[in-house]
Amino acid sequence: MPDTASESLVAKLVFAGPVGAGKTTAIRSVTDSEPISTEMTLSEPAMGEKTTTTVALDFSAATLDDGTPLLVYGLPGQERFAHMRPIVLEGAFGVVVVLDGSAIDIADQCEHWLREIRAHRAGMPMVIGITHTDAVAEFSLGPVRAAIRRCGAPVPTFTFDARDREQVAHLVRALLVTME
Amino acid sequence: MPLELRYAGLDTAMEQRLRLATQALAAHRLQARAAAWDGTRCDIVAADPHDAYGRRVIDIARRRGTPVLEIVEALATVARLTRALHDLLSRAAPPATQSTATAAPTTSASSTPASSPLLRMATDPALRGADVELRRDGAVVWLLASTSRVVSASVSDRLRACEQLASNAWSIAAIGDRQRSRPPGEISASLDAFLLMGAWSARAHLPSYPDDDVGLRDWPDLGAAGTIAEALVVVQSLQRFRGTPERIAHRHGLARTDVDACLWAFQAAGLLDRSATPSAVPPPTRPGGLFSRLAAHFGLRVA
Repeated sequence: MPDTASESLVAKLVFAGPVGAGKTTAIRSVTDSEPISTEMTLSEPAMGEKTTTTVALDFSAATLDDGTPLLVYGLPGQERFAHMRPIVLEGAFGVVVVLDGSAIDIADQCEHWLREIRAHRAGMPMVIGITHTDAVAEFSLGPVRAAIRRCGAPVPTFTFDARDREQVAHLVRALLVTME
Repeated sequence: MPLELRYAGLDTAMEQRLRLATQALAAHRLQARAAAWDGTRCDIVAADPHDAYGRRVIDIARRRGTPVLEIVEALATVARLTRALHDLLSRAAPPATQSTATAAPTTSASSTPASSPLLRMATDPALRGADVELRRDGAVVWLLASTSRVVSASVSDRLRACEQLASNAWSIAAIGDRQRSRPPGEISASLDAFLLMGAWSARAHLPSYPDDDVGLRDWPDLGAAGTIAEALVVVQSLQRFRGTPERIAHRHGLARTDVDACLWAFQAAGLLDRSATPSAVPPPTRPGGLFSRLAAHFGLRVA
């Protein structure tokens, strides 16, 4: 990746994570345009207020100060699209893993996504963002931190509001700091 | 120490102009940084008086005695914004905010009482890493190290406790087992960010952190502390290398007071580890010029 990225005329950032965690919302917050989403109505019972799901991937773009395109992709969360992950991850300078703080198996999901992404590239810079924590009285970071320790190197892990541009940007800042 | 500017009720284009104008203040020897209004105390507020949210923020700022710049059509350019900010800040800002070519990290004599919640959480063995309760005038805020969350009945209670974390305004005590079934409310937020913002706002008055070699095993949850990019650098440094406050400040060109504030906050959160070994994973190769461009786009100052 480093050789490709340093020579590349574009920057590529990927948002990954399970269905309903807030990837599409976070991408919308951090880019200049509404993401192109391939969404369908949920075939299973709706997840709270969520009635659609991304069935392929999200794509949006921003422009860096010097005109370099920043391409932002959202990895589909469904396992049937797992074959797309290596393709989408190729050439990315980092990955933001978005997890749902209200999920009872959030620690398992965290471990799954860390291993999934590291299987593609061992040293891929990553950061974890956890949504919906303000609505969950019992939420605790402890199990997530334990899962990260089991997977090896520490990863920045922030609770955040995917609708808040500044908080999403702060996640990316943490990602960049780990690359220094 | 840079002046803190908060803005509210502005569209994206005006936000960008305001950020540029804030940076342009350096030409007037004024260091300042801009961020969205988050309810915490700041040095100046810039808001649109024609926007309902902007008007609300202006009201709050005026009640607090914070200088306000009302963003009107006449201030539509970066140059005019810069001039207006400079004029307002020159009338309101103390001399200490003027930047100098030879500015060095300063540590003033600490005026933070040892009995303040921040320092007690950091130094009292009975409270460090424990679940504690802050009380003031009937308001109650829980700081739960066990879950890394702060719980309160309202956002304003939490913000007030955060602003006064380094003072004696709030009493602090461990939460007893009988109390646990009766939380003060349902407003939940990150404890790590709460402690960092509380320490940061009082950093000019905190005692120097002891010259101990420390490390961090876990990343603090700093998602809600987006205005404090320096903390990211401190955390990354502590994860890679063990270090004393002076060494960290020197290595990364940070003010000693900034590093001390981070360490007091992380210690109060129970995250600092004197036995942690540095991460053995070498840092990934960063993609050269692309990194600088990404950092600039996302507001990360590259040393």
